Amino acid sequence: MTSRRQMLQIGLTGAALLPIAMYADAWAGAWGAEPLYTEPLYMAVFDERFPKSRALAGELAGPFTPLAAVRGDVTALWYHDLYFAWRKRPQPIAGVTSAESLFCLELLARDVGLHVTRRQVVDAKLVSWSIGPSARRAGRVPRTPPR
Amino acid sequence: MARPLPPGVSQRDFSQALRQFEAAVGKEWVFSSDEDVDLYRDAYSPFWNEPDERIPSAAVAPDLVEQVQQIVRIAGKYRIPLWTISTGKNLGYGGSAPNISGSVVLDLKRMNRVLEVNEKNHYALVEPGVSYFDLYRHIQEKRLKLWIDPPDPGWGSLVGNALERGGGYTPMRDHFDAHCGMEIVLASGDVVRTGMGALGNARTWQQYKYGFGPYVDGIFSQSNLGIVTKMGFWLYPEPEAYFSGTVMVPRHDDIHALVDALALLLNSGVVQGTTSVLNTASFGPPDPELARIRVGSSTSDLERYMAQKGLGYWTVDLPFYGPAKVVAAQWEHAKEKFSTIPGVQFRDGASYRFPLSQAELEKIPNPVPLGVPSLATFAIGGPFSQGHMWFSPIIPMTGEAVIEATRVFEQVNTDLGNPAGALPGLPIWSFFARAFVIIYFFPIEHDVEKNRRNREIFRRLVTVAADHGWGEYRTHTAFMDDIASVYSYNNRALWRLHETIKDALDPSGILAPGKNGVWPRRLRRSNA
Repeated sequence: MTSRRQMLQIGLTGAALLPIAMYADAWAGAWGAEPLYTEPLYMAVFDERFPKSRALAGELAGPFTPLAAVRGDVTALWYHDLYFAWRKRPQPIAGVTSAESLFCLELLARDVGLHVTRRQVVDAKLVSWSIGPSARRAGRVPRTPPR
Repeated sequence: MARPLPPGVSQRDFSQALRQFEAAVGKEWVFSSDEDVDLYRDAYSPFWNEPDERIPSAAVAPDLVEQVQQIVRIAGKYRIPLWTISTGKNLGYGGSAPNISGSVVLDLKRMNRVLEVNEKNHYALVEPGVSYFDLYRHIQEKRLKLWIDPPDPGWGSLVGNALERGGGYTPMRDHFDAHCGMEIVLASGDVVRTGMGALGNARTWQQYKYGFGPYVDGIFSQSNLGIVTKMGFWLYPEPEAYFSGTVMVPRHDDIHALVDALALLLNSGVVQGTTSVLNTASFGPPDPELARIRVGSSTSDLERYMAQKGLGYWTVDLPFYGPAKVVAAQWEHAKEKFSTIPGVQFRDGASYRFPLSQAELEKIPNPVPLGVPSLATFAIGGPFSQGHMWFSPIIPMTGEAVIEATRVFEQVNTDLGNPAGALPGLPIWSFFARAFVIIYFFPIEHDVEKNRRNREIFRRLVTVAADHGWGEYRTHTAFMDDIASVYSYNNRALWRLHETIKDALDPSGILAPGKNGVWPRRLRRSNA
């Protein structure tokens, strides 16, 4: 599991990773010295139709985070993976995708109490983003109970 | 954006109510911080960056029917309006945001139990938080030979979509019609079961709709008379085969014979899934020459152009479900019915035998007509990122109505000073039996003036449609009063009846005040 120190080290390796560092810092600022940075990114999502998306998502993810590919449609990613992951624990994710893909993930994230915490237009087709618990909510994100 | 209090409720009473909600459902399931409540804003609000956006004051998420009962009793005590959502995905019609600011969102997403799925009699009983994906997953995991009928997209609630009278694509496409039995919490906190459910120990709650005595299920759809906490649905037995055939006719005036034959096939049950009638020129890829012909040339010029391209002026896709031999015979029968139209063309489309493997399924661009929920609709391109709302009038299933509606709505567009073609094309759907529904796409933009303009066009379309005898089947919360006002026969007799029932069942007026234009006595304009 990535530690806060590791995450910040990753964040300091390049300007493209600054948002991750800011994210971690925002958590740390809200919660004091210890708590939230123990939550690494669960995955970084990219759109394999756009080479730039893969490159930026790779930078965003750093060496410890799995990359997940979509081609516009996020159905399979959510249905086969994120659905189960977020049922266990709503974990932060990030990505560089189309705005439409982000929109779907944003609304699915709402269901487990996660927000878009960063949104930055890359170009006409891509947006770079992070989804996670807000600082205040991070300690008590809702969990979907088992059926 | 500042969060409002419920109308007429003091901060002190509101705080007390929130504490009582917390006692009922647990503190972690009452949401009152800005960041939590923001999650319930309409992702597609037509009031983007305007003070008229409807903002909730808080949200509460019960897990049990008993908790819903407690919540409505607390809300009644403090006269706090509750806006019930199931999964909150009613996009294009208001999403999860309330009809009036300050409402507390009653979020039923935790009530997500699949209570029963019966493979032999083909039905399910579910709670409101069960999405189409949830029920699909349940059926797949248990390897049941059953289909659901998801709308597009499929992340919404079966209960929510059926109560809003949404539509899908398979033979179970009319979602309210496909329901069988409800459990409802009334504003008093009383729990009612409809149909055979009133027996208490019913063994046919999901098999016979009507029970004994007045059939009341309809008054709980598009309604603010109760909170539906369970609902039964008839499911479609997995068919042996699916086939899609396309019919194209060459001339503008062929629409009459085309729709006549289509209506015969639909109303006689030969075609059981949703079809759409398309003006082919409106839905192709960008084509400058076609754009020039559409604006400046005659209908015959357009007919010639489409013929040169090997396309029809009008196109209809016909879906068939059932035994393979029957499906093939139905397509042959359909072709016979359309073959009286000179120049008609037929094309064979997708053909599948079931069950499909996961690998086969993943190759299908749009699996929704095969009962498989998907979000792929968001990936087809278009201005989805900033949102949309739907204008969706019901028109007769006749060629005359298609022509007239096209002409009238284009004229409204021109009268309002918009360029020709500013209104999107008219996909005309058969989501419901016996009538067409037109689904207009109105973009939501991050531009206050454009949104105001679109709202103006929308309201104008509502009144012009009503003047021609067409009414909307469903609408965004922003336009519910507008739509209700045109259902005005005999001095609004139907809405006066709705208000009478509302006042009897919900005298404190706490359940979704104003939903679909039905206001409780204390909030009616005549009492304001």
